Amino acid sequence: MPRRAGHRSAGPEHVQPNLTPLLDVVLQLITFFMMLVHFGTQVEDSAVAVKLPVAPAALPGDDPGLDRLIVTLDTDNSLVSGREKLSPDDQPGWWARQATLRREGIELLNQPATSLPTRVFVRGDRQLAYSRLRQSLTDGQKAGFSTFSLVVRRVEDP
Amino acid sequence: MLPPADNAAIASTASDLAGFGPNWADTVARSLAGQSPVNPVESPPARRTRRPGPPEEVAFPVAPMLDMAFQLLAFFILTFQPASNELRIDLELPIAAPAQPRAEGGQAKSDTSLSVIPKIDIANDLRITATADGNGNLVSLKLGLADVPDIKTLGDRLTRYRKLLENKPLKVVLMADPGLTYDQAAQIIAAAQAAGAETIHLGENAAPRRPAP
Repeated sequence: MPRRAGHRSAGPEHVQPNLTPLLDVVLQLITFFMMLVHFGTQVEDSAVAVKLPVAPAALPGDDPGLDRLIVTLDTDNSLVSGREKLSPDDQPGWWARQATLRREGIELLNQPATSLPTRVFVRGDRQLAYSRLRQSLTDGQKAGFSTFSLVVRRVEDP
Repeated sequence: MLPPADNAAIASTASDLAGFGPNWADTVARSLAGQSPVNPVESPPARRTRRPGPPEEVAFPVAPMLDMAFQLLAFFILTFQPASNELRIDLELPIAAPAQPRAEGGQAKSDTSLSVIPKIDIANDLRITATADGNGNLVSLKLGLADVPDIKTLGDRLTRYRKLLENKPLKVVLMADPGLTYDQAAQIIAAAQAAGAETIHLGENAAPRRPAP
């Protein structure tokens, strides 16, 4: 008798897995990742391997803005930006070119180009000499950049 | 119509049923079969429809919702950035607009102070002097004329000084040896920034161990 009752609903069986718990977990995960999402706070171009200095005292910066120029100062005194690698002699010219490009862009928008709004992120190797860093900052400043950010580490990498 | 056993039962009670009309046999047969005489035919289907069956499960289509949830999940996982270990030391190094025409003359000034700011308020500017050995390691650190044992103490003293200044901006000039490593320099700059320094001028010692004026 029980066997017959079991076979009563025989036919093409539609197995419906209970998806509700799965959906619960997925929504939890979505919430987790949504809470932790940050758009545009990561500084790009961190592929160039330099050992950044560790300065835990530095304050977490506010919104870095979208107009950025990221330069990496290597231990061999070269400046790396994007795919360009420049020796110290070429750097003032490069800064001037970057400033000109940005000024032209600003002038296209009919805005005064007295000071460039671009924030320059300087990723310097920790073994870099202070004079090299200062020279790069001076070059950038002479070209017209006024906002700089030195990128440092909070803690040493494990 | 009736089964033979029912016919025998009807025959045994035939005398008592005289005068019940021409349909008495039907009535009796139904009562013997255990059916109610009033609505024997209609009741079974009516009972079947009224019977409360098991509570019907309304199948909510979760699958499309799950599809969308997975899409969202994929998006957030792909754009996920773990908390960065990197901090920024923000430096404002403005070029004062009036100083632009005499930039040629101000060239010498930029050798001692990175920011081309026309005047330096000596009374309010704190000078940090950092000297380095041949390898670029920090050897001595001075705040004004006083020796400071390490960078942490420097930060503490700057913080206290900042409190004394109250509303006035704390301006700091860092004079460091050219050979000092950026690691040490960044720590000094970060300490000054954390202490609340409004402006930090970056300068260079022309010669090592040059006495602070």
